[in-house]
Amino acid sequence: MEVLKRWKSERRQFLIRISVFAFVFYMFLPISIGLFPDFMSTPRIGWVSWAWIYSFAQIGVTWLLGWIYWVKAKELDKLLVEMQREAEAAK
Amino acid sequence: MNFTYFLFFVCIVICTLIITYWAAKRSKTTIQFYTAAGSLTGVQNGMAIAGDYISAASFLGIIGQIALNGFDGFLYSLGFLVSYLLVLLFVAEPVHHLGKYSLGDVICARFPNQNIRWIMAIGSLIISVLYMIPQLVASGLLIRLLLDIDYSVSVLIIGSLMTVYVVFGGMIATSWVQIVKTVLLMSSTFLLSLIVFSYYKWNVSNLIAEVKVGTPLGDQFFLPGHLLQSPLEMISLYLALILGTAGLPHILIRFYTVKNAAEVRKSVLTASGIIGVFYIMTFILGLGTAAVIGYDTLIAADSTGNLAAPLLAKALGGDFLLAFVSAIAFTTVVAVVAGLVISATTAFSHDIYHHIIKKGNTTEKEQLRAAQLSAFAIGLISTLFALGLKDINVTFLVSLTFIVAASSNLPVIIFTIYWKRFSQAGAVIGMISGLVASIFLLALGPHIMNVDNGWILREPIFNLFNPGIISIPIGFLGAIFGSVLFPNKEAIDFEQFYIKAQTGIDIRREAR
Repeated sequence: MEVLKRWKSERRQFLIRISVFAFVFYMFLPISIGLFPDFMSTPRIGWVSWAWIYSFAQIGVTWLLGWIYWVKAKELDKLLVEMQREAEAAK
Repeated sequence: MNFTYFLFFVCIVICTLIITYWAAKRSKTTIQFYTAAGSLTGVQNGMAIAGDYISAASFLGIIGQIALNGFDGFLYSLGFLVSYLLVLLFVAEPVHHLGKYSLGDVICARFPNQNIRWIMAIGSLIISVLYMIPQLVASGLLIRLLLDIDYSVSVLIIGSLMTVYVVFGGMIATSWVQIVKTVLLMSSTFLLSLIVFSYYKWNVSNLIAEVKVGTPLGDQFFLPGHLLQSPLEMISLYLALILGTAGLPHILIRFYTVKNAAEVRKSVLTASGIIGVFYIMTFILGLGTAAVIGYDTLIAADSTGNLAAPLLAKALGGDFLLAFVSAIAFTTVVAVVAGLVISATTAFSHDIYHHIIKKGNTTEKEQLRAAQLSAFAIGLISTLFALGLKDINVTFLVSLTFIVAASSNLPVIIFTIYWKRFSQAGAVIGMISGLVASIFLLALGPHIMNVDNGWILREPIFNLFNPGIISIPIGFLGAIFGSVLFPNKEAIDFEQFYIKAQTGIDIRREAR
């Protein structure tokens, strides 16, 4: 049951961290445009302003977080296999 | 209709009917009909999810919105994409592990109760049908404009095709029609994007300079705030888009079509990869439309901007490319509505007929027959509605779908899976309060109450077009208060349920 506990706490911590980061990162886009419209809209390189950079970053970050979850989930799956093996041995 | 159009159109219809014929031979049992017996791979399912999700509103509407409003149009695409992260992290795997055919199965895995099943089934039916009607109406208007066929005839063709796919081919036909649609849609948008770049000699600054000439916004085109004037509106819209997908039944039931959790993850990652690339391309096409076509011509063709992609195709590649893009638009619509028909069918025939009316006592053959009859009835009723609603502006129903999904389905799904003290009463109250709040706020808002062109010609009582920021917290709070005020009478083993939801392992069974 030690493995199960480890699996649960690792999964919980991972999900809390990633979702707090994601929620703040994503929702801060419309919020920042509302709070600092001038700063966000001023073109920095050609027509590209912070609002555009931030927007495109949202696509990249979505893919990145998806990939991180994929890797982490594989790791956690290994713990599950270990847990099932323990359960089999205990029978 | 000229010959090129007719040829493309017939090719698509024949191709999808061949798929349906092939699928019909493989849809002999209920599990095959509802879930393709879990036979899809993660990548195939990801492509089907993208095909299920990218509606005509995305393909045509967003390109138009970007061409007309610049940044704010792009915000829609972002919200649609980002929403998949929530699906991946919290919802997809538990839905796969807990349910069998429908969303009702997931909630009833924790609260095995007829009332809960009723509510989940009605919620799924409302969301699917409310989403289907505007798709049918929009496609009828669009096909009329593109192919010069009468509105009623276009709606009848699309309505009949979606019904035929689902009645005869079930989930297998629906999935493969969606996969074919994704391949066609992605290749055509990629081709169009390349043509846009080549039109400007692969020089992005030329394209940008032309965009500024083509739009009355000029330099302002690239600044936020042309469509969504108030920041609150922007935040509210973004919130509903990000949270909505995780409550959409037609997307969630797709997680039953693969065999394990790894394939579920692969499905979501594939879908978000495709959807992300697609929206980057719609951005290029939006700029291309503003530059090549220009604001005035676009608005003159159709004030909503929905004809952006077809006009761009015609300007860049003549009638042939226009015929191709029109055929893709047509495929886009049929793939999405077929997905909605099967989701509504599952809610009715599996939840209401099999579980509630027959109390689970039906044979395999009866269930399959009921599913096919329900699919036929749902297809027929939605088509009749779409025929009747021709002259009424129903586009707000699309935003309503996302808001209802995020306000009523999502709180119940999330709390069922993750909150130990969540109770049956909490589920009922959360679901109803989210649903009522969304509909009520939308009815009092400027979509319906509008001095210029609303259903009710007066000032709106509630001033937001996107009421998600109010209705979503109401749904969550309703579920929380319901659970605190009316806790469960019988204690359940939440630990065991949680492990089952997250891993598919039944520790009770394992321990025996």
